[in-house]
Amino acid sequence: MKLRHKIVILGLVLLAVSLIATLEKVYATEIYHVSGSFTYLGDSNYVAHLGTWHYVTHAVYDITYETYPPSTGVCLYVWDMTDSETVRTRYCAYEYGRIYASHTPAFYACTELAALFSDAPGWHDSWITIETPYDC
Amino acid sequence: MKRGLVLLIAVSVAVLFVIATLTYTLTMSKPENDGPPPPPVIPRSREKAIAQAREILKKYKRVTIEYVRKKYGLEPTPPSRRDIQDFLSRNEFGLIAAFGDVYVLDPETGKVVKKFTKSDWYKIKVGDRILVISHMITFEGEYIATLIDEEVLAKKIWYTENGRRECKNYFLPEFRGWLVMNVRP
Repeated sequence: MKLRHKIVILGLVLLAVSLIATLEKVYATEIYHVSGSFTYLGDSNYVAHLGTWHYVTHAVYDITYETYPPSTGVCLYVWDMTDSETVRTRYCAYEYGRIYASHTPAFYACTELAALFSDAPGWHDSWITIETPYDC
Repeated sequence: MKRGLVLLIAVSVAVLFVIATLTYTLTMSKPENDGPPPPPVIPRSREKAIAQAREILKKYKRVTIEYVRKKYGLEPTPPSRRDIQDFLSRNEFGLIAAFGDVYVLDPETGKVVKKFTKSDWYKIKVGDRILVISHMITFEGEYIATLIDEEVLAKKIWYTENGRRECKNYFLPEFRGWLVMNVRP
């Protein structure tokens, strides 16, 4: 095998490595830990803003919470926004103390907002873990 | 000529190597994680989903399509089987979820002006109203009802223990209604 052939093969291998590394980077995820108390608003409404993320391709919300009295009337609101369209999705807890939602926007969301909402009184505190791809 | 070609390839390889190394280094420097958490393991059933939906609908008033047309000047679009399947294929959740569009309401007439967009998020003021029309489905894709949520942007101001002023804006429910439409094929 001639030297230039070896060089070309080496170049192709490095190109493949570069592509794999780039793809891995694009689809990597980051875990956020959010905690805090819920804010009381009038008319028995309780809200917790979880966070705002940009250029979201996929998000996993695994949320734990505590209320007294125990309530499953807690819902996660996710807003997906592009410049021309907005979709809001609501996921509700189906076991006390936890909401799980694996969420992929209907479109590539420029901005994703997430909040918890409930009319159950007696919020204690929440521990929220959110996983989204990060924009880099 | 050949020597130039070989030189060009060698330089390209060197550049690619640097890019690959940098990219790989940056990727590896990101915090590691154990991947997404496992989905819920509690057994799900249609009955549980319907029961939870009923609990939610208790907080809503049953309305008609004519009511929505008259109050908001909007012709609600029924969900299609394709919409529901598309939502299910993209998302995973416990028992029920609701997905839908958001609209801006005229502050004076209360009628729908247009769809809510990203730029509206930065323009909206305290007291402005929005309308969310969302279709509630079970984890199996069964359509239950369409929810009508009229919400007003409210401001919450409070003081921390340190005396620091905190302020946040939230959408508060102003009116909640529900209706059932025929799912489009």
